[in-house]
This record gives sequence, structure tokens and C-alpha cells, in this order.
Amino acid sequence: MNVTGWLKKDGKWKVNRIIGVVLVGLAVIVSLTGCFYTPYDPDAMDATLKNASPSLSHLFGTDNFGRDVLSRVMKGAGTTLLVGLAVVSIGAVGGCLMGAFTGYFGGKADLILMRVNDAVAAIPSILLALVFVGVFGSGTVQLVAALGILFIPSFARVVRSGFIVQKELDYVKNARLMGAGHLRIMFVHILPNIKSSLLSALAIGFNNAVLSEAAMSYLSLGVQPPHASLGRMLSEAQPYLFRAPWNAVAPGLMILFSVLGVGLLSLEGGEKHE
Amino acid sequence: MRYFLKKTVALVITLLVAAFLTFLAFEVIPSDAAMAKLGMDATEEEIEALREAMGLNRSLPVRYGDFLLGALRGDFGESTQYGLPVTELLADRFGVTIGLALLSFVLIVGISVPLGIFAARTKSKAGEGIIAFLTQTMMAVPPFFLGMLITLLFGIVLRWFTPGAYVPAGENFFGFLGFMIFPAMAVAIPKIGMSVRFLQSSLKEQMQADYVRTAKSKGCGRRRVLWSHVLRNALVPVVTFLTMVMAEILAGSIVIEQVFNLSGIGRLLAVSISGRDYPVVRAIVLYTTAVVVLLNYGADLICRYLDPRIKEI
Repeated sequence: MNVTGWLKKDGKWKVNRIIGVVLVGLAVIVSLTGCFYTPYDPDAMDATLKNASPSLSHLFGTDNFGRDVLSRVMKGAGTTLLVGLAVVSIGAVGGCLMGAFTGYFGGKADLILMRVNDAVAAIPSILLALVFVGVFGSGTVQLVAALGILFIPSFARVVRSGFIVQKELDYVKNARLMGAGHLRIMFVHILPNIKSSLLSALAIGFNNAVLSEAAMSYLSLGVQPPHASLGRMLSEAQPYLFRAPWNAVAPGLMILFSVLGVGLLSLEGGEKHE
Repeated sequence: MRYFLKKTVALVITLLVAAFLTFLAFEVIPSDAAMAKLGMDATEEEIEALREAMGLNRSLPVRYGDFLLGALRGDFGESTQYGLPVTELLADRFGVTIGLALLSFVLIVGISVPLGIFAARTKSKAGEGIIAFLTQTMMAVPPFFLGMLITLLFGIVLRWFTPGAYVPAGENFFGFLGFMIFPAMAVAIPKIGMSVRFLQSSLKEQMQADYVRTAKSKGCGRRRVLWSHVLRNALVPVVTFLTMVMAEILAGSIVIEQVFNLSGIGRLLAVSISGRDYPVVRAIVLYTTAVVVLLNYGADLICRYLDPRIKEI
């Protein structure tokens, strides 16, 4: 696949996809760089520079402890995106297994699991995540576990409906005749064929995960201090909104850009397959 | 009638299961209410005595029965943090959350329906691209960040409202609206993005249906096709979707109440979770779940009324 063919259609640039690539690229570069290098130590406090406005030495200013906001955004973006990835991985693996087995074999187990799925999906996930954290305590690990488990039903539903369609197709019967086992058929033959719907579910799931992490950390029930996370930074910035709005704007825009970027990419990707 | 009965039985079962799960969730916690109340340095005997007094030593089914009966009478015990009956705590805060949710819902429906119809009718590629970009942006903003931006712009720069100065609806209804419209905007905007996209795709799907072509070839005008054919047929998925949106508004207000310093249910929930105030958490979770389940039940009945072809389940 050549790159310009992917970005162009009928000689016209796909503007939304280009913006998506740029935004995702920005998020990846910022958070990857943040793992190895930040202009200042993200946790170093400087009492003489509290809530300093953006300047050449501190591009996004400093927060109420005199910490460099740019460095904290770089570090926090890494945490937030990593949590998002971990959550989506748990949800996708769990959902694929559950959806594949229920969709392929059907029967009573399918019926019961799908009922449970519907029940879980009916309740807003942030409420369930809050309950989970209430029971098991707050922290990054608990947050990832809670959100990951809560994301399983949405993936299971997508995978299941794909499997129900695919399992009746000729290539599955063919594979069966050639002696392929059920597991092989499910994961080697069918799974690659539902790639496109799985990909868009992944993108939506990732965005929801990032937004949920931010919301939970904002309520101080997710990533705990002193670790920087974008949601955490926003909640710390709120009391100083009037004096130092850059404290809130920088992490907020970082979340907006990464989620928007992934959203724009998935949007165009989905249309291509229709 | 059979449909109605079936749905009602399912509703009762769902509510019982939900109540059991909320009850069970807080039973598996290693520390119980007695330990939480007395703190770290209480002796074994003291804890044991309080457990006996609070009825924590009875068997699980008995306590579940107790919890259910209490819940039905609206009695959820006492908050460990405030020392007040949970019901009293909740009663003060329900109005705020319901007001916020209703206002947001009105905003969402009022804005996204016309926008969705407009989006479904657009033929130009550029127009579609712009709509896609805008709706994606609306969905990508974290609601609480949006809340902060709204506070910054309308509260601090333009001074259209005083941040944190909530006016109860009973005192001054227009003052209440003038304040609540801002948090409601923060709740509504991401959902508007979602709803416009949904309306656009479901209306487009209907517009390609055979009956639309038939109506057009009989000489039906564009407006009439849209209003009396397409919209009627799109109503069922839209009602289902709006129910989901309503549930998400309730969840979204948890965070927004924190941003705007509104003392509603959501804020109480967040505070109670960090304070390990389990009776309150339990009551809020149960109430919210019940509201969501009831909303779904209502939507099912409405959909059945709109389209009698809908069979059971």
C-alpha cells in the first residue's frame, strides 16, 4: 500500500485522515520522548516559580508547585496512553475469546453470556468503574483491571456478531473438510476476516479508555500522585484556573488531540470498508 | 398485553439481580463497616461488639433480605462519614442531579435533531468531511475539560455566571437556569456529537429504503418524505439511542458536578468512594442502576407502541 494512495482518493487529499495522522503522530512522539527525555524533571518543585506564565524557558508555564507543565504533560501523556492501551488490550483479548466461543458454538452458554453482557452494557461504564474502585481501592493497577474488564462486553459483541456471519460461509466448511480443528478455524481462519470491524472497535475502545482514565484520575480515583497523568493534572489545575489557565489547557488539549486523532483515523478507515 | 407482562417480569428480575450484586460487591471487601467506623486501633472485642450491634454477624441471605426490605422502604442505614441517614443525604441532592440531567437532555435533543437532519441531507463531500470532523472533535473533548473551558470563558472572562454559586430551582427558577445551562452544556456537547452522527447514519439508511423511492415516484415532496415517512421509521432506533444517552448523561454528571462544585448525587458518590462510606455508595449505585433499568423498560414499551411488529426480548 503506498502512502499517497492511502491519503488521497480520486486525486483529492483526505483532509480528515491527514489531520488524524498528524495528531496521532504528535501524541506518539510527545509521549515516547517523555519516556526518555523531558526538559525538566517533571516532579522537581521550584518555590520561586509558582504558576509562572508560559515563557521561553517554560513553554507551557509552571504549576502551583513550580513544576514545569510541558515536562509533566510529556510524562503524563505516556501514563494516560499506556493505561488506554493496557485497558484496550485486556478488553480486546477477553472480548475476542468470549465473542469467538459464543459466536462460533452458540447454544445455552451463548444465551446466558450475552444476557449478562447486555446487563453490563446497559449500565454506564464509569459507574461500574467507580464501584470497582470503591471495592478494591484506587490506584493505577485497579483502574486498568476495572476498565479492562468493563470493556470486554463491547468487544465480545462485535466479535460474536462477526463470527455468527462468518461461520456459515463456505471457506469455513472447506477448512472443516480439510480437517482443521475448531480452534484453528476460529483464530486462524475466521478472526482475520473480521479485522475491519475489530479495528474500528479497537479505536473506539481506545478513545473511551483514555477518556475514562482521565475522568477517574480527575476524580482522584485513578492514577495516584506523585505520578503524572493527564486527568490528574487537570484536577490539580482546577483551583488555579483563573491565575494559571495554561495548567489546565495543556493537558486538556493533549487528551483532545490524541482522542481526536485516533477518532479521525478510525472514521476514514471504516468508510473504506463499507 | 403479554409483551407488557413479560417485560415487567424481566424488569423485576433485573432489579433484584442488580440489588443483589450491589449488596454482594460491598460484602467481599476485607474490612467491614464496623472496622471502618472504629478505625485502626480498635480492639478485637470492640469490633466484635459493634458487629453484633450492627447486625453484621447474621448470615448472608438474612442480611440481603434486610437490605432489600430497607431499600424498598427507602432506608439504607446511616452514612459512616456524615452520621446522617443515607436517604436524607440523597434527598437533598437528587434535585440538582435530576435538574442537570433534564436540562442536558433538552439541549441534546433540541440541538442534535435539526443538525442530524441537516447532516443526513448534505450531499457534498466537503460538507460531510466538515461534519465528521466537528462531531469527532465534540466526542474527543473530555467533558470535565470542557467544563473547565466553559468556566474559564463564561464565568471568568465574560462573567455571565459566578462559578460555584448554585441557585436552587425553588428559590429563583431563572437564576437556576442561568447557572445550570453551563454545566448542562458541558454534559451535552460530547453527546451532541454522538447523536448527530447516529441520526445522520440512521436517517441516511432510511432514505435509501424502497418506500422512500415509492413515495418520491408517487410525487411526494422532499419535505413530506422526510417528515412523515423517514422520521417515523427512524423513530424506534432513535428512542433506543436516546435512552442510552440518558443513562450516559447520569454518568457524565458525576464528573461535571465536581467541576462546577454542584452538590448532587455524583459528587456525593465520588466523595463517598474516597471516604469508604459504603452505605452511601451502595444506595447511589442501586438508585442509579434502577433509574437506568427503568428507562430501558420505558423505552422498550414506547418502541413496541411505535412499532407493534417488535416481538418479545
